[in-house]
Amino acid sequence: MHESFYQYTHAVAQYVRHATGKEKAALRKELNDHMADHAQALLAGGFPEDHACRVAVESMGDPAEVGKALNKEYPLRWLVLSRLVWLAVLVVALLLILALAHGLKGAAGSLAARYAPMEHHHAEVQLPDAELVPLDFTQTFPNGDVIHFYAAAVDAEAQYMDRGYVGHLFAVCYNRNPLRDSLYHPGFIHCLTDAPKEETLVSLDGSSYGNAEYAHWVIYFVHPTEPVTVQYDRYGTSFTLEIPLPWEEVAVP
Amino acid sequence: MKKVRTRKEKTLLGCLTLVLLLAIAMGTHLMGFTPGQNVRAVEDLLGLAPTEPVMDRDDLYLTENEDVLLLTAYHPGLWRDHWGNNSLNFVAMDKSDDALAVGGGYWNREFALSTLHLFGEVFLEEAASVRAYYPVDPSFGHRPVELTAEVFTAHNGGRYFWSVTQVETNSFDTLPSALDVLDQDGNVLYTWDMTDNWSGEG
Repeated sequence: MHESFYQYTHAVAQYVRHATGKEKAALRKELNDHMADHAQALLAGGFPEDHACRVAVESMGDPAEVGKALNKEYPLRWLVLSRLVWLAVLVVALLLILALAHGLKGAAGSLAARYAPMEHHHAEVQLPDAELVPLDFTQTFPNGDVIHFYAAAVDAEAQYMDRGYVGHLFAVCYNRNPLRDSLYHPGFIHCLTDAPKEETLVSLDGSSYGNAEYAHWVIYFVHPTEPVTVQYDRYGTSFTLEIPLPWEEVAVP
Repeated sequence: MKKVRTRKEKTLLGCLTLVLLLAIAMGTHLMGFTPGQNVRAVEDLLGLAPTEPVMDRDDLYLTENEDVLLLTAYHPGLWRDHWGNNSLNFVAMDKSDDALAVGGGYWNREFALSTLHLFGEVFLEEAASVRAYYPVDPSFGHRPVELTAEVFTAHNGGRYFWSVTQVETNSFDTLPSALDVLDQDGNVLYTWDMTDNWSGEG
């Protein structure tokens, strides 16, 4: 950029107060190109370089007047509005990123629940005396939650005074969308045996891993060959599953 | 040189981006700008059939369908909890019981005061009021709180109860775990174990 062009565009830019740095740079570039074209034409007509540049600058007019006129082309209200809109975009984008991060954080648990429930199950529940047998019973809820009964056991060592054996049932609940938490809580599922209700005691413990909810029912007491019936009837959804316990693993006297 | 966008163009582009992000946020139920949007979001999260409005109180909205009585909280503002955690945003009450559907909510919005809501629907014709209480002798060190609510008939002909009680947070440590439905003379018509019916924050 010729020195005189630089000084002129700098002087004009001083008066364009409402323009941002980028806008000023673009404006100066445009003015400079315009003067350079003019000077180039004069040079081609045989004028010396200094004279050509001076004429090109002078023909632009008073920098103060040009600057003030150009300043009107940069209304402040649009700048403020634009900044506010982009600030809102930034806030909403941050919220979405946070939510996505939360979903992704839990997604590993949801994926593990469908492909390898036993791995995370073992980390949460200890059953030293019982042999776990894999199961594959699933039920889908209307919101895409899936409950998967993935293992059962009969604890032969924990036989209580001839009243029966202790059964264990394991399930995991996850949503088909791995980014979502499961909302249907296993606590609303009832485990029943053939025995009268008052003679059966069921306890439930659970844990969560990411977006998956693990549940472990301990059923006192079950008797050889009896299955366990699980029932759910809530919010308009109901199902009943008969789940066999692994009696073949137990040395029944 | 790269073209510099005008301020109008930048604002328009920002508006379009904002609309797109808000649509994503609403589509994923992260944000809701009206109570109705919140209710629709909860229905979708739970996979429920559409619910109809029953009544509202403060920023809580009671809606229902034939299977569920749904209480949805509406907090004006950008952030609505992480992906619809039900302990904070809604209470879904199952209507499969023949006698009633009940829920309890507690919100400690002020440091010293807790706001306890007791709400539900009764299907017993003689029901006149409900009483929620802790059935164990309080001399065992518990400091329970007792709540009562009158049964009223709403615009849709259904019979509901909804009491809002503010209690000093330090004055109780045990929420009611039983609920009696009473007739006009105070006789107990039905008793419900409401241990699992509480939701809230704080």
